[in-house]
Amino acid sequence: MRGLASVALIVVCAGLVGGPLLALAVMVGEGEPAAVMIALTRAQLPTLALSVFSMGAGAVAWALVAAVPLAWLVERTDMPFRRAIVWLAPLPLAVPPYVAAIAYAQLLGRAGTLHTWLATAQGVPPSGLAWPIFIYGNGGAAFILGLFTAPSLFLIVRAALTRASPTLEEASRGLGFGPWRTFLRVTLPLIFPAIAGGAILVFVYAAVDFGVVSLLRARTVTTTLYTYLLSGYSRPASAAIALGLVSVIWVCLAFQSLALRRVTPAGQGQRAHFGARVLSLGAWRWVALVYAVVVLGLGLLVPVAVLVGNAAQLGADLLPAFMLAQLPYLRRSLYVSAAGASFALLLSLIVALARVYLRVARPAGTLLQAGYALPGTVLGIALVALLLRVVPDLYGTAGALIIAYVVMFSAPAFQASRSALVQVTPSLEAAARGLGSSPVEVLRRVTLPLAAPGLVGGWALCFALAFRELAATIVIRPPGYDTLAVRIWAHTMDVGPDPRASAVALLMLVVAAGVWIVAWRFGNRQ
Amino acid sequence: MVLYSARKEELFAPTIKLFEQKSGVKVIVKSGATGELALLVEQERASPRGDVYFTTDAGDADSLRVKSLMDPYKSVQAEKIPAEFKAADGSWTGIIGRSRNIMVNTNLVKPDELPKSVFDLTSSKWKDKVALASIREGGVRLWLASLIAVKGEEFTTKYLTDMLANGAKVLANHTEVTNSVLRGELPLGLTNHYYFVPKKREGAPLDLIYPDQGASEMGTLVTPLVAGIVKGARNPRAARAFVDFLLSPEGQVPMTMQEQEFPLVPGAPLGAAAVSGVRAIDQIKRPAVEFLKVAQAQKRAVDLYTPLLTG
Repeated sequence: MRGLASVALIVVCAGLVGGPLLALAVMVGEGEPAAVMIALTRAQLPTLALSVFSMGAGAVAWALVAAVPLAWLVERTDMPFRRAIVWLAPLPLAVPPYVAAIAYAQLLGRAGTLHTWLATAQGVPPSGLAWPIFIYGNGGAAFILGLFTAPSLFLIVRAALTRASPTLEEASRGLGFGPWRTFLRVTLPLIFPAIAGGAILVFVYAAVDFGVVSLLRARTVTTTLYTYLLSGYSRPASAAIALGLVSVIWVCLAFQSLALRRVTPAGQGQRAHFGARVLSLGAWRWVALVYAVVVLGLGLLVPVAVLVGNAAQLGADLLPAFMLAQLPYLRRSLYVSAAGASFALLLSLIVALARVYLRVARPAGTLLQAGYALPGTVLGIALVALLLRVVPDLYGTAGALIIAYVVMFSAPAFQASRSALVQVTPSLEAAARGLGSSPVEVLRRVTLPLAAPGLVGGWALCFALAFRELAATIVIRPPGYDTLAVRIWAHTMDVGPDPRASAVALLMLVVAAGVWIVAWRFGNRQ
Repeated sequence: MVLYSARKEELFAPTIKLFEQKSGVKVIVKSGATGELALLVEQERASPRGDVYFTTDAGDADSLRVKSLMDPYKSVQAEKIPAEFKAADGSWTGIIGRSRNIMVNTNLVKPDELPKSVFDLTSSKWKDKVALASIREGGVRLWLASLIAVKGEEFTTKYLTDMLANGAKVLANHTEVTNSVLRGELPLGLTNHYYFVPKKREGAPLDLIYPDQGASEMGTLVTPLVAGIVKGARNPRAARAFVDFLLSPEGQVPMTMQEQEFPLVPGAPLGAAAVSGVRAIDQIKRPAVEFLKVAQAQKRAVDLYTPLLTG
């Protein structure tokens, strides 16, 4: 029974994720080995790998700083406006990072808004004022990628904190340990799996991103990969680089699993009620609030202000009609993202259940992660090749897009469902079993309700990621089936962003905010 | 009819709308980057979903011709278009033209100091002052290919390495090149003429240089936007009607109005919205080489220079 379930799951996951990988391998095989080798040698991959690593580490550092303290503050302290912050913190996820990159370059770049303003204040043209802030390069890309993936880390860590019972922390305080030691010795170990899982997601996102990297003039492996692919230089070599990237990321994930195997989440069970038993920060609560405002300001206020400024150029007479014309795109975006997120969560939940309860299907879980590690355009092309061979009728329908989102975003869904399930106390389930409940009933009445906030958080995360996804969507979408993210791009392509792109980006943000609030209420009501 | 288009949608929309009104054919547009769409046509070869491939990069269309993925069609309307802008077998046809220029920030360079040739840009005078785009941009590939076709491989390699050694900055795309010149980060940028047009209309301190126009010089490259019909297209009749329409004087008007792309037919007017500084096709001295040779040299340019110009 276990073996059979394992095999079935592995087959499904292998088909979804392994299929595109296989299509890529076929692409590599189409090349002449010597030519592919030359192309790979010229790519200076070791240098680029180092660059990816430092940029990815930078992004993780920014995300950790922006997400972990914030999650702890809203869950465990009396910081003012916690409820509002819980709502606002995930919203930067709805800003496509390349839109954020354009906004920040517009604001902080040379002859950007800030530079021009400072120069004008001193009565000189911008060319006469030295400008030290460089949003460009690997540092700038790490900042943007970190800041705009931090909410995924926030969601996962916050969910872990909600589920981790505060009893242990209270015991520690009762034994006379200060809040800082309690955090380091008790809270941190409890939420460490979640932090590690979220950090890996940030790292991988940064490692395979192309939009931000190219706009901010950073150079990573994807720069070369896309150049090889889109200039027609060597498609086989670019497929080989993509496979190499996936393998390296897989190794990272394997290390993560190994590291986490030793971590046994303990002391969990009853969920802490929101706002219950909080730590009183005293005067420090205002310092905490300043930190939260800075984080939200950088991730939300700054891009929104720039976007509003741009969109306003459309004028009050054009804007309403333009927004109304976006509704069909909005409907499609909502449909494919919601469907993609739901299927991704369902699949990963099944795999995570199998893994946690039956102790099987480990390879399926690992397989699921690979889709997230493929650059979007590459995944798109590989999926087209695969779908046309296997299910040609599906290609050219919205179903193909949904499959792409399942492949891409099962990894975050899996991280979320696994950490949600791991923290459900086995003793509660054992008690339910002891009272004569069937396993299905235990799942329905005990396990899933306990894991619900984490699962809903995971769904919201996948939804937001799918909602803003561009690279694979451009390739796979049926003709005429544009999503909002595609519309932003269509208004940006060729001659740079125009006010319409900003208006669509704002619409995306507002809608994602609405979806998030509904999901959050739903998750906390259960 | 399904149109795979690498042209900015807003710029193409008026043309498409006019065609829909005239012909009663519904056009569904799938926009994408030119290279992406070419890859897509190739992946879909067993079951084509696009009818017309419209691209800013004739090289991509020609690579599809080489792979027999285009359905040749010689429109009557294309007869007056110079042979250099068409595939001989009709696999793709030039629709409208763009030129390859040097854009200059007039606040930073005096009129008497302007470079007259792209080959001036390797001199110490322009050290750290030139922006150019990554080879992911079709315009860059075609320009390098034209240098190879006219001046030879060795010359071109030396020119490009000298220019990079001279501190020329490789940016993500032509939009970034334009922005960096506009903001005065770099005074000069190698780019296509139509990036200049909307900025000039807004009154930006920019000028457009047509390089190498002297009698003994190589000339300024003109590249066509091209259309081709996908082999096995599901709507071949509508596809042909669309290509005919794009080439007709009526179909050309909206394109010349937007970003001042110019008709490829010598003598055709620039259009009512002409911006000062943009030239019509017969006012541009062009390289004395068939465009097809340029399109074909592209493969070599990509092989040689991709690692230099990833940016």
